[in-house]
Amino acid sequence: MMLLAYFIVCPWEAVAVGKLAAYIFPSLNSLELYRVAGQPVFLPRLVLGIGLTIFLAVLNYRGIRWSAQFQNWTTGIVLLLFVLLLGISAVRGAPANFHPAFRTTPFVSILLTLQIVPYFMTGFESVPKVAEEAHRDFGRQDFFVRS
Amino acid sequence: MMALLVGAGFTSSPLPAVAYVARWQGLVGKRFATAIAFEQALGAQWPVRLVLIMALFGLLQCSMAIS
Repeated sequence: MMLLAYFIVCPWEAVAVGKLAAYIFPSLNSLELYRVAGQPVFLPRLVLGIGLTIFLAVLNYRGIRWSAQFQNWTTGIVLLLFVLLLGISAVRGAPANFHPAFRTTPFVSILLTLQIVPYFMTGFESVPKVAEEAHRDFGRQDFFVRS
Repeated sequence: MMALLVGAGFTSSPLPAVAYVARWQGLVGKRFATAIAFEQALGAQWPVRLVLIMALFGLLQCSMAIS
């Protein structure tokens, strides 16, 4: 089942990284190769996606230490930028922007918000698992004992 | 415990942060509403790039986490 999931997610990641990078560097949208369902496929974005896939494969092949280092760096940068954006919000924001608190009636607005909240929480269940596995006293045999 | 607190803060604080920095009515239905909110607040383009760079690193992090 996991294999099926990754068959979908890995190509999605490869395409998404090119799309996102093209928003930052619009010059990546050049050298159209072909079209899929009417959507152009650009050479630089294709190279970037394939490059990322190969890079992640090599990183995983090299072992957990390299993977963990890469994960630490990317997580650190994300958290740093996150704190920076929070700071900008705190300095440049105003409480008046919150109003009105609800778009429609309060009850309907809360229900509309609740329906989307579980999707935001996707992946959050990984936090306690990874935190537990990262603990110094967590041994290799614990993967089988505690699961 | 620390990981849970950071995770909870990371998940829950962007919504109030964006709602605090710009009027949410002007963001409804727009693409990249978070980036637009910060662009409006600072009157500059660089926050948009900052948000997109953060998304790019988030994507790399996510790619590594699932692979």
